[in-house]
Amino acid sequence: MLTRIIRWLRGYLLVEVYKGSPERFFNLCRHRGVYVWNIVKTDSTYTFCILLKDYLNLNETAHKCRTYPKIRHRTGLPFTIKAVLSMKTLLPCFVLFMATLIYLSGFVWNINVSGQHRYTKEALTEYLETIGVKKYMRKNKLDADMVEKTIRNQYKDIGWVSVSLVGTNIYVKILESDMPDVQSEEKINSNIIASDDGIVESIITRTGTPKVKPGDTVEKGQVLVSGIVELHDDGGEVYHKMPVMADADIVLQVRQNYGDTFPLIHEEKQYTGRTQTDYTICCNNNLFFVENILNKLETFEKYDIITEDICGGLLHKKTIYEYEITGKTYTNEKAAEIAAYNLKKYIASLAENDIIIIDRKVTAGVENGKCTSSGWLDMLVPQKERSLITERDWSVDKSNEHDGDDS
Amino acid sequence: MANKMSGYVTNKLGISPDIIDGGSIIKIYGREYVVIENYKSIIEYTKDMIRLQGKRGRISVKGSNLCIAFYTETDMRIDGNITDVILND
Repeated sequence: MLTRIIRWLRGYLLVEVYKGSPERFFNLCRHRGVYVWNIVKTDSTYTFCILLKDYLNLNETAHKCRTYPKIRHRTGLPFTIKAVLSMKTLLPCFVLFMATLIYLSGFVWNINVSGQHRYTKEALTEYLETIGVKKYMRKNKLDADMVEKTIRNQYKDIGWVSVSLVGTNIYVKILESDMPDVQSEEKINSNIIASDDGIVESIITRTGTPKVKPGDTVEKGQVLVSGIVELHDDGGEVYHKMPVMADADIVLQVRQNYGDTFPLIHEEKQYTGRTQTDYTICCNNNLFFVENILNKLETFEKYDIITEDICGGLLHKKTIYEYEITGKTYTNEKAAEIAAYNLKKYIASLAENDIIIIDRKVTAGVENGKCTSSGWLDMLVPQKERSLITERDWSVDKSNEHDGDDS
Repeated sequence: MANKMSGYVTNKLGISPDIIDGGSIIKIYGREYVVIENYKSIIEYTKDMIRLQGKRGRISVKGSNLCIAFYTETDMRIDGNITDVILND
């Protein structure tokens, strides 16, 4: 194979020799180091292949043997170049090609978004379009600093943005930050109050003055642990009050009413079966888009996008499924199932806040085209709600000592 | 005398004859092609027979549609439907 490539690069000829003494001709070629191959005897002539450079020195040998070489066919790069250069339209086409290339390279052909987790690529691309960054825009109209600033202002949870233009591609790299809300670490003097009506299940006080004990019934907003610590003198009189930040583990047993209603008629996705598929080849940090241009002619109003990696991430497949919204009615069984699911989801959301359900009674029924769940939940709720202590609450009024009638 | 001497040396020392006196090496690959090493020149070339001059005799390759795929200073490959390979003094 390599030999064939080298022969093609150097150029070779299919030559026919006739008359004279061909055997002697081949022997002389061999002695002079002229390499010939594919020697075939036809009826009255011999054909063989010879390199172009050797053929140019063949005259003397042919003359000596009284043979007459005749070129039958030319093959190889030198002949191809000659044929191409002889084309009169080549130069104008080349100039036109370069001009088109330079003109088209002045546009943005692809926007690549990476680093996102919460936001989809499509959502970010749509937002970029609203601020004027889109495919097929002029490259010189891109203001990367402005785009970075705008993205940061729009998405508060994106901590870092880099917008760069490489070739005809815009690369938007983002880093989402999971910065927690800034919470004040300073201690504020406060009471712990009841968030709901209920019965105190348990109370362990670390700081402050407990105002209730297990088994007490409390109302919403009632102080459970006071942030005012009273100091008594030997006589049992309060001589000083000190405000602190109350700290205690208090659990209330609370009965909460539960209600959930949803209509039986609902909207449901119905896939139409029309899909569009595009592939992206990822090679050495470069993306090559294999897109069907015909897909651009047909746009879907409502669609789902499913992406999957094939061949270990080398190939990305993006499939767009069109769907329509259709009205449907739940059956009673399905409605009961959904009501149970909603209740389960609600209990799970309570559990996230350390609330434990100890008893419940919820019934579901269908009436007037609606499914209604109602009942109650008994739960253990940790108390974290606070009320601030004002100076008036804790200052000891000693004015009487000085209000004595001196007269 | 020289042939006898070279034959004696090759037998006694176990050296192959192509090294001592340039004997031809002929390799036949089925009926498809023959590779001949240590030949001197082409004597005759027709469609049905190619005769070569070796250093110690002539070599005739018979068959049909014979063609020389390539030849160099030392070896030659003959393609075609080969029927006979004959060695003559």
